[in-house]
This record gives sequence, structure tokens and C-alpha cells, in this order.
Amino acid sequence: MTSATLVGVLVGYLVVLLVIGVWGSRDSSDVKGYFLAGKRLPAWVIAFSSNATGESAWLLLGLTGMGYAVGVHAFWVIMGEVLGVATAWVFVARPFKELTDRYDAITVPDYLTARFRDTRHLFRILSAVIILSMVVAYVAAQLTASGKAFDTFLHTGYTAGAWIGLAIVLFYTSVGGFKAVAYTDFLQGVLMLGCLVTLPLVAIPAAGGWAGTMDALRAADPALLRPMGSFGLSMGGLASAFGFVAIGFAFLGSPQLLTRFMAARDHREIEEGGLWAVLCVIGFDVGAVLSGMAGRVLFPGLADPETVLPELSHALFPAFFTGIFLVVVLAAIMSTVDSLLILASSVVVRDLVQNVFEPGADQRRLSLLGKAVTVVIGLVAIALALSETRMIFWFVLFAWSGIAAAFTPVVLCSLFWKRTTRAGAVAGMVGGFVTTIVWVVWFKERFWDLYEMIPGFAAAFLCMAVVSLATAPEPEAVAELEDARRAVGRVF
Amino acid sequence: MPLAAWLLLVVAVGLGLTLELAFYRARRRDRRAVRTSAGGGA
Repeated sequence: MTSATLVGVLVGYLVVLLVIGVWGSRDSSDVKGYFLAGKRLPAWVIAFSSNATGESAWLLLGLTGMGYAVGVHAFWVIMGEVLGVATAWVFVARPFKELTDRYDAITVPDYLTARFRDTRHLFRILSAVIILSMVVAYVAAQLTASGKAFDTFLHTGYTAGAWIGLAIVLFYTSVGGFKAVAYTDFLQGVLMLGCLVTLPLVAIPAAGGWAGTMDALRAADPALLRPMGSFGLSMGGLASAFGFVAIGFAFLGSPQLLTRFMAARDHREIEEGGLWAVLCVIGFDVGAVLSGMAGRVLFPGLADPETVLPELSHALFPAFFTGIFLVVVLAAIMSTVDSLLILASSVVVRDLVQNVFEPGADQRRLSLLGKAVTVVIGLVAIALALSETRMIFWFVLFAWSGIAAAFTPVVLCSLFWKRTTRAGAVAGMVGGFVTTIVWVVWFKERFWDLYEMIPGFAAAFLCMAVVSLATAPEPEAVAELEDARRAVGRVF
Repeated sequence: MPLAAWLLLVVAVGLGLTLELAFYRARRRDRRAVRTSAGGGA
């Protein structure tokens, strides 16, 4: 294996991204173009781009590591994600698209502000606090992944690898806006799918074929082939399985994914995109878990299970394909980081500056400010990533949960429960977000390590229901919701 | 792989896929119905 080959593949990939970035930048001269690609994206782009954004380096390094560490117990993650993606496209996407088009919303806080007639900008300020804090944690985890990937593939050292990842993403994100982000995410999603379908097809035969792999796993630890893993049918096992399923709940209402529905050309694109998205996530997740299981047989005793994918690619593929695998890991990192940076930039520029602090600001100033926000968030995130090397899997899941618990219950109730009020929605956002953090800090270890998204969602729904029932909804907003749902029509 | 693990894998993939396929078929059926009624009117 030669580093020159790896670098060559990497440079080729970055040139393609640059071309897409420059191409996308032509349509990003105004706020709607920059943050939503002018609402003109086709089905296949929103499908792959939402999955690539949702999955991140967690899929390639974290979930393969999960398959390595716990075996078939990781199938619960597949259940949650496939169900989460399907439910989002079937039930959430069309009414959300209908309402955001009616409100001419560009961001999720835009939508919540219009839906609940919020003249005091509560949703905008609250959303900014939640999104900015969680995006920093999320991007830090991705930079951790970048450091590990570059170090494993090119032996750059962890710190240099994290810096290289940040520089690439910052450069390319600031060039092209959301259109470039969505189309590069599409390309990155296709690369990730190709990699994760190919890898187990090569790794399982190398590990002794299907039967040989299963025999070796059983010999290593019989719990690797049990659905409830080493926990068995216990409270700990149920909490673990339910926690894995809950990872998929975030697909129902996280802002970085909802923006894909908002950016769709029309309802027809959403109807067609769903099937692509579900097939794609099945390929992603099944491939990742099976690769991890084969990796357990080929490389038993890895100090860090999250390095199993680079190890497999080194051992099983020639140098050119090892370069492709490095590109795919970077693709997973970049497809998430660029979307998160655009999301953070949009809440600062669109929700805070344009709508709260400086309504008359010109477009050029807003555009420059957006780019400055992406750089600042990137620098804060790398400071966090370098100060403490954490496991990618759990750090990503914490940030994933924080954003999802704050937004998903509120978005769901705003679409399907007409009794939801402004005060109820605010209470739900605060309750979901605070509970997620409090659970991780004080309660998680004492309650079977139950994943924080579950208490976060429960608290959000509870707070929203109690406060909404104690306050009155806006009659106009209720009538508008009913009209929008009539326009969308039935589901089946 | 044990039967229980196969069952979990099939359910994990099948639940979401079935939901999406049902939705996709319903939308195609609705679009066909709209086209038919539009054609009939002309």
C-alpha cells in the first residue's frame, strides 16, 4: 500500500467536491438559495442527502464498531433507523412540506414561529441556543472521527487528522451553500452505500464464509449471536435494545433532516424519495453491522472497535480501494458536518440576525456572517475534539439526542395535534432538551444506561401535553393546520 | 446464525420497508386514479 495512491484518490475526490461547490455557489446569492437551494431539489438528491446527513461517521466507524462489539444485538439499531426513516417520509414529510411552503419558511425555527404565531421570537432564540450547543458537540465528534480516520489510513497523527478534516470541510462548505451541500451529500451517500454493500461481501468470505463466520463468533462469545446480547432478557437488555431502536426516532423531526423535505421541489419528489431513502438506510445499516461482525472474526481483540473498518480495508483491498475507503469515511464526516454548519449558520443569520436583531441587513453582509459562523463553530468544535478523545458512537448519540428531543416531539405535535399551543411547544422544547442533559449527567448510569433520547422524548411530550391543555391554541393556526392536512390528503 | 437473530433481522428490515412500500403503492394508485378521471373528463 502506498500513501501516494491514497493521497491521489483523496485529491481526486476533493476536486470533485470543489467543482460541485463552485457549481452550487451560482445559486446561493440570496438567503433562500443559500439555505434551501431555492426549494428545487429532486427526489434522489433529498433521499440520499438526508440519509448521508443523518448517518455521519457514526455509521462507518461507530456502527461497524458496534457490530464488532455486540454482534446481532446491533440489529436493534437497524430496526429503529429503518422504521424512523420510513415513518418520517410516510407521515411527516408531506404535511411538513405543505405547511413550510405556506409559511414560506426557510428554517425549522421559521416554521415554528409561523405555526405558533410567535411574535416574541421565543422559538428563534431557544432554537439557536439548542442547535448551536449541540452542533458544536456533534461537529467535535465528527472531527474526532476525522482524526482517527486520517491517523489509521495515512498515519498523520490524531491532531493533524482532525485539523485536515476541519480545513477541508470549512473550505468546501463556505463555497457552495445548501445546494452544494445537498448534491455533495448525494455523492457521499452513494459512496457510503457502495462501500457498505461491498465490504461484507468481501469480509464474510475472508472470515470463512457465512457459516464459518457464525461459528467463529459463537466460539469467541455466544452472546454475539443473541438478539439480547450479553444482557439476556433483563431490564438492562430491554433498556439497551429500546435505546438502540430509539436512535431512529430522531429521523422524525431533527432540523438538519427536515430541511431536506423543505428543499424538495414538490410533493411528488417526497413520494418518490421515500423508497430510495428506506432502501439506502437498509444497505447502510445491514452492511455496517455485518462488516463489524466479520471484522470481529478477522481481527479479534482490537483495542478500539471503531477502527475495524479501516483495518478491514487495509487487509482486504488493494491500495486504490483503501483510498476509496478513506474517501468514504471522509464523505460520511463531511456530509454531516457541512449540513450541521449550514444549519447553525441558518439559525444565526436567518433566525437571529435577519429576524430579531437586524431586520434590514443586506444579503451580502448576511452571507459573510454565515461563513464567519461556520468558521467559529468549527474552531470551537476542534478545541473540544482535541481536548479529550472520546468514543465517536456515544458522543454523536448524545448530540443527536439533544437536537432530536428538543425538536422532534414539538414538530410532531405541531403537525398532528391541533390542540398544541405556543406555550406548550416552548415547554416541550425546553423539557426535552434539559431532560436529555440531566439524564446523561445524573441518571443514566443508575438506570441501566437507558439512552437519553427516551426520557428526553417522554419529558418533551409530557411538558407539551400538560401546558397545551392548560392554555388555548390560536383558532387561526388550528384552521390553517386542518386546511393543510386536507390538502395533503390521506396517507394510504 | 440462530433463528431468533434471523427473525430480528427480518423484522428490523421488514417493518419500515413494508410501511414505505404500502405508502408508495397507495400514492401510485391515487395518481393513476387522478389520471383516469382526467382522461374520462376529456
